[in-house]
Amino acid sequence: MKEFLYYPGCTLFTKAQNFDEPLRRVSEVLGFTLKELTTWNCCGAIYVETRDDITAHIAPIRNLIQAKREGGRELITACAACYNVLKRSQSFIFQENNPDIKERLFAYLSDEMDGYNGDVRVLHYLELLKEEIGFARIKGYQKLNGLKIGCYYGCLLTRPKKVMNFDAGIMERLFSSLGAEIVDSPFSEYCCGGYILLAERGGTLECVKRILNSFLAADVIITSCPLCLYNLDRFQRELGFNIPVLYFSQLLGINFGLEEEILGFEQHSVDPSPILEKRGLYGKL
Amino acid sequence: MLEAIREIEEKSGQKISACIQCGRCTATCPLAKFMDIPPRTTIFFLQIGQLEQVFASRGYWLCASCLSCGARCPKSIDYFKISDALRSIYLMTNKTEPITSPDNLPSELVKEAPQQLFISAFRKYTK
Repeated sequence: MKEFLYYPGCTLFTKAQNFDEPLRRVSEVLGFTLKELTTWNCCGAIYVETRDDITAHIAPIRNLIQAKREGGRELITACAACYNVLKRSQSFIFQENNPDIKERLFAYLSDEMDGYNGDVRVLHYLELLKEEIGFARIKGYQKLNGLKIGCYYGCLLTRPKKVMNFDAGIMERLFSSLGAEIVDSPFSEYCCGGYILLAERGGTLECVKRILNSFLAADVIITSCPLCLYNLDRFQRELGFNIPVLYFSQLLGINFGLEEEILGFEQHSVDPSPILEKRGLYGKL
Repeated sequence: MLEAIREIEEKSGQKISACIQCGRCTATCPLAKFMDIPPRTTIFFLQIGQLEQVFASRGYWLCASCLSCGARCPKSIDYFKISDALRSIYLMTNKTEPITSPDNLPSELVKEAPQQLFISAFRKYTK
């Protein structure tokens, strides 16, 4: 079975196992394995924008060096935050012209660089599916007929556009080939309020409200980011909404008939099972 | 004063004087309505040298790093880098961490929210 090096990141490794497990299982069904890096560290969780904070690049670059050591041509990740940080750090150090910063970082990491020159490709799981399997082939597994889904990308997958270069229609294409009906929204790349939750709770709730309002016609909303899921899901009762929010991997898992224990719905504030049962996709079929 | 502006410009990699005050950043900012001094005005105060007013405000702390401002700026200025530079300078020159600290988090939140929330916030808000 073909193997791809995989970087789960801290959240998928612990609190978001219901994001991680379905990915590993669905991959096997599709004929490839996600091989976790034998050793890895936190990516830093958020990209630090100040130019002189060189230490912020150490964590992500170390993971990429490790991927290279383990023979990876690409490093697969599914967490939008990890994907953003790994890709932006790689770009800042190796693709953009920042010789002063690069020199200092290399001096610091000199013992462990192993000649790494930025050639491990940071690839999102959705991009891997598109490139390796192809959505035309995935169509054969189609099971989601009749389910209305809203695809929410948020900030981290798509911005900054020049660096991320992410196809912000990839979830729509994948899941419509699996039979789902797409609910469009002008807020699919809007900010969920992120970490502002700790500074100005009302600010995050306002962002969440705008996004949920734009997806009222959806049975479920899907995302690739643990913090987006938390913000969009957790405050729905107090905001007067009732739209389940899932990781895209859980929706893949539903399509491929994974067990309840793997899907981990008990972690969600809005229970997705009633609407999925109604659409004949979950529970006693 | 010029020295301070230069520091902000070096940290952020953005040229403060290049801003034409069109206000697209504020218009597109999802958090602007919660800010005492929103993005465009923050840059304006920097341009006219009212640094104290900027540093005393809460606006730049409420940037969620969503990068929308940068995506829409006609002069390709990334305000989100300026706000990070301001926070960094504030935290280096003051003893206090005015927004949040690891010591005062509700335990329910710590239990249920993803690590990503806390690590992101502490990287932006603490020394």
